[in-house]
Amino acid sequence: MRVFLYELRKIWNLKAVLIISALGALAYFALSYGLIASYNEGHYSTGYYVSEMFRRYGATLDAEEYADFDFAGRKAELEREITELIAEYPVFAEYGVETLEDYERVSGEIWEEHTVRNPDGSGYLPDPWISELQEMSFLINDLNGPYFKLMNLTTVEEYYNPLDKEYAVSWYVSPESENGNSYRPAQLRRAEAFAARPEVDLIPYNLTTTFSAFAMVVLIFSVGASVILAAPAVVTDRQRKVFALQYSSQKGRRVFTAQTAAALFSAFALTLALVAASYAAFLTQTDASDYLGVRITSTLMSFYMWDFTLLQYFLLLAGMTVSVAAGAAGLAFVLARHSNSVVTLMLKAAPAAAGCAALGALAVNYATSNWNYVFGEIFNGKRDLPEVWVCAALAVAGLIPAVVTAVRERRLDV
Amino acid sequence: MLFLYELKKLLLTPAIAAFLIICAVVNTFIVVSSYVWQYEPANLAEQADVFDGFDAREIAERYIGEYSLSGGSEANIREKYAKLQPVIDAKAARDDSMSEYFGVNTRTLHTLLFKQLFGAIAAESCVAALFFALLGTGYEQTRNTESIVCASRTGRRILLPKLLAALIASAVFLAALTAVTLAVAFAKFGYASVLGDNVSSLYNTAVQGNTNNGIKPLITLRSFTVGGLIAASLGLTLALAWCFALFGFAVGAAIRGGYGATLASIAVLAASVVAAPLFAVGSEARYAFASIPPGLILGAGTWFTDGGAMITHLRFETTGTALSLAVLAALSLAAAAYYKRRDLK
Repeated sequence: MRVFLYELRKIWNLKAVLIISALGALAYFALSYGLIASYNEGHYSTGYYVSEMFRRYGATLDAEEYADFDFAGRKAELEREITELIAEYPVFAEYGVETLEDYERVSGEIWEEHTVRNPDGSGYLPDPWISELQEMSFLINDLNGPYFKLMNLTTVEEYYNPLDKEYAVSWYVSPESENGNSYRPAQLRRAEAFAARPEVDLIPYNLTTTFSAFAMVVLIFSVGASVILAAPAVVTDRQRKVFALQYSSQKGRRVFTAQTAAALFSAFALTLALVAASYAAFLTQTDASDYLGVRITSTLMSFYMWDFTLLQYFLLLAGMTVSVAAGAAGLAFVLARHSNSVVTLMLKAAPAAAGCAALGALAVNYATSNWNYVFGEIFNGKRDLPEVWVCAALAVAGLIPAVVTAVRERRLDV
Repeated sequence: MLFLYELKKLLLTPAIAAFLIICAVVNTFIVVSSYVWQYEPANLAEQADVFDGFDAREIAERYIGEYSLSGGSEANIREKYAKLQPVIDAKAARDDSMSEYFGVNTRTLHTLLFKQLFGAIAAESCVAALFFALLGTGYEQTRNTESIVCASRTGRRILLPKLLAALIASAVFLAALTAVTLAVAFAKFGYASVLGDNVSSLYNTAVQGNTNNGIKPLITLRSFTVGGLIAASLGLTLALAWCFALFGFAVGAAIRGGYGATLASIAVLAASVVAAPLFAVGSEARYAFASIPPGLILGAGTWFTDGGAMITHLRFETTGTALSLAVLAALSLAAAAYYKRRDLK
């Protein structure tokens, strides 16, 4: 035990800890904080209505509550506000626009007539048409104005209808859908189960996607940090030729086991600390803590393959992150055993860590949803939650060689 | 003689060979997993020269609007595109854009070669160059020969051959990696047939900013054929790799012990990439981050063009690389001078 503690002290040296903390703070403010800020800014869109429903009706919305929210009345009110807005500004009268329908018709006609196509098929509206439209468009498309609210309300009405989930589901799974997802059997099974429930879950759709992107940054950083922290200790020992002395006795041979344990424990503890600190920051800086008990199955923007609550989702992603970081640290430790200097170790560990971080990032980003790369592109939507298994496999692939190396070391000829 | 031994040590390190193989496999995977939707012969006769009457101010105004630029950064962007106007007029006069290149697939295949593949080659050879320098400077300590080497004045002069060896080894690594990568790319997509086409073809576009309709023609500051741009990009990649080698050398010579030197290099490089988004697009600080070697690697594909909104001055890649080479060379000399007098403990 004492050897284990001394090994831990070697691994957690001040230099490494300071560098990891400084880079961690930098990464948080430069990369992760932007995600939180854009979630908080964009929250007024559909999230505005969803959080209002959440405050009124709790975690789920049933048919009665849906009717009580009075979509028709709210839409009529917003349409009236738009007509007032149009009457207020003379520019609309120049184009004969009196109502929202007029505006949509007129702008549609201008787009249709004057769009310039790029050779690659994309198009844009050139001047002077864009300027002609701009004044009206600015007035109508004001992010705090009634038109934007009306669009969001319509979206919420379509996607959060507890009795008619056809619209929500069809976009992701119907054979006619443009994205051709119909061949994904796991997704179809899930859609049927989802459609059978007489209620929907009330959670801002972008909370989960923002969180998974946030967790992806944490994962990439954790993999890098745990490799840098855990791997070099054993190399420095070999470089100083201490191991020749240790290996001459049976007790000395156990030192390597203690080193393996210390390295893996350090990677595990560091990742856990990074995950805890960053997830706590996410919880305190967004409204996520209100929704911890709510299931993440909102169909707007993405479709989730499992009925996790937000808290379970946090724990799942934390587990996936720790698994990948532990696997990467295990691999780096084995590579360290076969390196004679920190430089050659890093040369070997860099591709290994990059590979683990890339695969882990693909697994964690949009985890458990239909957009997940591992689920959709690698497994073609045929398996349930393959991204979780990929992370577990990475952990096993890294940890088993580390344990095998530690065991073999006891009988090894020097 | 000493130089040759140092070079041999570096090139015959098994980890380097393994790293080269892994990089080649990754690059091959990038090529093999890329595809183009369809290949229809384009009809150039129906198209108009995109540079005829093209006003560079249009791009400047879009950037200023999209990133809400004001003050100095607004003036810089305006000035950059005002300077670009004669380049565009010259392109119009030469009919640079009336070149078929890959027709409708131009953007995909141009991006594959100059952004993805050159980005990967640059990143990989720069990492290799850094490790060549660190391996060289840390070698005596690793092999416990430091006390012999450092005991005499002649021994302490070993650093110069080490630096030369790291520079040459970086070039060899880059040549080998490029040969493999380009061979695979040329074999799959037939780049050989377009080597003489102008890269500013009307089918080629650069994405501008975040907006979907923010597409602009690919404006290179000189008139480049595909072959010419490949040669120029290779030259720049070599210069970037040498920057990394010089950086690794300076750190390795200044900090005794491979662990400290490696940790310090990783920390500096990671910070130079991660800190960039802290500064606003259009600021001089953001420009500086984009034109130092790590920023240039991430900005592969924009080399020798007008660059994006964070590039506030023209010729960012040559200026940035030349300045970095000069500064890092001076730092390396300083570190080498320090090494000559350093106490071993």
